[in-house]
Amino acid sequence: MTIVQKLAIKQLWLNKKRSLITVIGVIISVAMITGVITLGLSFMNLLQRQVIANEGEWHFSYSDINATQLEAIEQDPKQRDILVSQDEGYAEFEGSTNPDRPYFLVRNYNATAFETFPIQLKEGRLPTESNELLISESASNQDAFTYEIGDTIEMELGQRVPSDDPSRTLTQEDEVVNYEGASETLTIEKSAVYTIVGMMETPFFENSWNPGYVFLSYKDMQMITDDQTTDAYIVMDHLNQASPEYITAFAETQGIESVGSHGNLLRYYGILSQDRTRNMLITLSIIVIVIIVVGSISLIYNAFAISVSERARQLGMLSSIGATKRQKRQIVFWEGALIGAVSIPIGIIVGYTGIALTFLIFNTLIQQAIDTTESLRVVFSYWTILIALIISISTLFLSTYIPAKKASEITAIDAIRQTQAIKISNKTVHTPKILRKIFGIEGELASKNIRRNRSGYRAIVFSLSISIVLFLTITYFAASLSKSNQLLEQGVNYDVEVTLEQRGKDPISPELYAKLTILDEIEQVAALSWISGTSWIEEDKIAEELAVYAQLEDGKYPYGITIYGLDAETMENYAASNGVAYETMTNTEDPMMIVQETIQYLTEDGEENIVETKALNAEVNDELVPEIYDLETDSNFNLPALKIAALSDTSPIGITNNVTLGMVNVFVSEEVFNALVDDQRVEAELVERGFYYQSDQAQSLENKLLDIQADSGGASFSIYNRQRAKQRGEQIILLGYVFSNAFVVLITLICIATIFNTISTSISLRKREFAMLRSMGMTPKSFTKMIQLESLFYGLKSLLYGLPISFLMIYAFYQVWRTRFQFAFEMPWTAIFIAVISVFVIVGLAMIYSSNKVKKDTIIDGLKQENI
Amino acid sequence: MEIVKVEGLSKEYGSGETIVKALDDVSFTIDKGEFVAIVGASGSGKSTLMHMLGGVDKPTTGKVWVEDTDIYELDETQLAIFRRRQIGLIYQFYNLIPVLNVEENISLPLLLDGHKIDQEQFEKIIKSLKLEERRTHLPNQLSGGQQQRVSIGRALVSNPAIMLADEPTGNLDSKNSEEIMSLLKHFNKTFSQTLVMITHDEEIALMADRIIAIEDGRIIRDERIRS
Repeated sequence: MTIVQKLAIKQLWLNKKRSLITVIGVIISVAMITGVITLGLSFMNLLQRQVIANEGEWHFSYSDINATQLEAIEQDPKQRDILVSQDEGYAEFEGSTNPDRPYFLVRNYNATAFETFPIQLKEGRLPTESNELLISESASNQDAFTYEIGDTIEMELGQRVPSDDPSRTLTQEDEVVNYEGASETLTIEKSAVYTIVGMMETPFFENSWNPGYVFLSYKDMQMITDDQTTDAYIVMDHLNQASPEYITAFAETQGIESVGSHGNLLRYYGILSQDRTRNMLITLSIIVIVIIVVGSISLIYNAFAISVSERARQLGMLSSIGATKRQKRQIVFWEGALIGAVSIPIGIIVGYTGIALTFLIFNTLIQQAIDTTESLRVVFSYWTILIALIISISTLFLSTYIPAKKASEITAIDAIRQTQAIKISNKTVHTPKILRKIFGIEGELASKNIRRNRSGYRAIVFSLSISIVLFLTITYFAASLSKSNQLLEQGVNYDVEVTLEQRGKDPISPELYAKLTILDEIEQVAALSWISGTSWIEEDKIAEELAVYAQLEDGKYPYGITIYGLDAETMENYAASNGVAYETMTNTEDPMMIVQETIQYLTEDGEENIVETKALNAEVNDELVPEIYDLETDSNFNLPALKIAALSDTSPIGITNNVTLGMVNVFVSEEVFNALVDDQRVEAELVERGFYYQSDQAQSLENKLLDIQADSGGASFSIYNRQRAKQRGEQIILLGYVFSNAFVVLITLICIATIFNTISTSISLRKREFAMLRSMGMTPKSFTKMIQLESLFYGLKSLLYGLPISFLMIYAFYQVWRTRFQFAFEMPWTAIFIAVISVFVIVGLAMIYSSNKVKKDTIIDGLKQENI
Repeated sequence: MEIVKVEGLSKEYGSGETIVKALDDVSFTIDKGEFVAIVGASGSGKSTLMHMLGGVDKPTTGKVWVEDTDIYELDETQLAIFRRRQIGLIYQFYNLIPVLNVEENISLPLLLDGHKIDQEQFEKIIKSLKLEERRTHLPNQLSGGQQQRVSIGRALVSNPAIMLADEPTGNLDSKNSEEIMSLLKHFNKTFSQTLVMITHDEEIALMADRIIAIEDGRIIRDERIRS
């Protein structure tokens, strides 16, 4: 070890406290960089694994390729695996109870496809021959499907052809063509005999509207003949940013027309560049890392800058005995290297440990929050370490380079005469006269002291401002998040929703109706049918708020009207609560309705939060005429007029009172509803039905409903568990809140370290000055006042920068947020108050801590103090 | 007329075997308008004595009266106020406040006391210190001699009972030393300013009215050379 290195070590050891602060600062920043990157990578990894588990690991797909093209793909060195998926053909499913799904579809997989796609074998085995078949649970659940494992099944396979365009064949992605005037036919091409070897769970790719129940058979690549086409899914050997371009180019040279990519998966590899989720994640991580880097640079830079000016004399002494510039520079550099060598590895370990612990604690929470079966794992990547190393080493280098340069330029005479340390001009310390008037000489001294210590001052103001901005922005973010969640919840009065896939005038089958309404978990249920149309409302009857800007036609405004038919029990209750006799509601000769009068709507300008108003200005016994659109004749026709039986300020289960201005919800009995839609001009397509449940046991209700759904042979209805969604939203908010606050705490720690470091150094540099002031008769009170004013000025200046920047950030954030959720802008006063108080507390504590040490010194000690 | 009275002043540093007696039972008085030089070798205790007189250090035993005030009976705040009103301190290394300009440094004791500055008196001091051209300069823009003149101005501005100078010329060349000494002498004579100066320079000490020599914390000689 050279003498220079020894000196540097001694130096660090002598200034233990400062070295420790610097080391901690570097540890925190390295840990945070490691942590943030690892957090991002781990989340991506979790989502990747989740997608792979749900949809299989493949990256790109080629559709409708022939044998030659398949051969070329196989020769492509950049692919690792090829998953062949070929649709052999559709067969009629006689006796299918689901009119959306009248077929079977036989699909051939090669061995890789069977391995890679998440096919869950329930019984038996996977096919290994082209005449073996794997049936699916969704089909075998149906009563009409009687085959079992071991049976042979003969199928007439063919293509689906739409009647309006016979040149086309339909795929699984095309719904059954069944409009009025258009249909489809199955043209049989061949017949095949399969042996059923196994049964799989309903596969991941099956949707409730897919026309065919999919069975899988086996076909390897060689079995694809020249006259056949197939789809191929490929797994890249090395997936990277260039892959999509490569695949497109490859497809073009091979004449493959249809190329696809596994967007869900590629997004989480960060490969789809237009992806908003990815861009948002990346932007957020970059902002976070930039803040960490800036924070740590200022901390580390300060620590070194201070140690140099403090050691000016020592360095001067060194050069007077013949130390070269290089040697002086080396001392400072060596210090940086030592600090780095100690703190960077610890920082990386702390970062990883921190994230691992966080995951351990949050795994259950995260799982529920983002609905995943996979758990978060710490992703260890050399890139993370490399990035953390590069950032921290260059920070250390930068922070030592400038001070080192300064150190090397200190000449012997400068250092010994101490002219170096104080380079001030009248301009730097100029203070307005008013300051002395208000705060006295103490205030002037305080202000001048701050001005003198420019770099330290900047570091403090910068650190504090960043803390303020971060704290306020993140608090606002969290508040907005929970506010948005509340908004989503507002006016919703059901826990689980079931919407029937099938539209039409025929009421739901009594069996299914019974099944859906007699479950134990149900507290209340409403069976709703509805149809939407228009109703022309006279000018004097439209909502006041609407009148301002409504464009009238013939003195009338076209209200959007939704007519809900309520089941008997719900109607009975609803009518009773509005003081209407149920019997008057069921009279189809004189159709009556209850109008949802009180609504809440969100104003467009965002100035007001939620406005409660009257949907329209009608009175009981007024009549509304619903107008319905007729698809075929492209015109409107009127339904019988509905008389208002009551104007209600409540809503039946399932109907929210969040209604847009110019819309109105009206409620009629089932009988009246059925009579209304009985009109043959009313398209069956327009009539929708659903069930709304109130239940304490939303989850077990959902499970029961799922069972019913499975029993009824595929999804003829969809289930939405709002309770769970709500809980999930709350968990996500909690999660976001905890993570972002942890982050604020860490940043604030860095800032506090910087502030303590800077202030205590600047005060100990001024020991002699303080002694001087005291010897000249500055009382302890004056001294304290001066120190307090100095803190006050630091705090004020930080707030001067921090608050406006925070405000801008918050407002910008609000503007972005507003595009999705509308609520009034509110200043987060509580958070601002906390921020202001904390700023003064932090600075004040640092000042008191440092000045107490000075106060304890006797004046003589202070005067003897050489300018360190 | 007696302005300072020192009685049985002792100051010990350390304890037990390593005890150092910086001052050992020192007693003397100083009359108003006197110019006293305290001489002694390095470590003789002369600086300690001066600090005791200025109320910046506390004695182990003994008392100091300045204008009938027993200064070590005062609490910290009272002592600070006493210092800024009754004591003018001049140091070897000037100890000016680097962020304040010449005017501000000079008027600092008054400002700390919350006094209005007597502009006429202030101008007189600036003028006699030949600092008219340098009013707005900061200490680091001044030469050593100029800085010491500022510190003399600062010591004078509050019209103190005594002015204490600790090696005021110790850091200056002979020309500047001469100038500073003639200034001090001038203030001593024209304003009857009581002046206590520490020096190890016999030649400079001879400019005083009275020389007190200290050795090992005791007064070994106290002679009046002019009256």
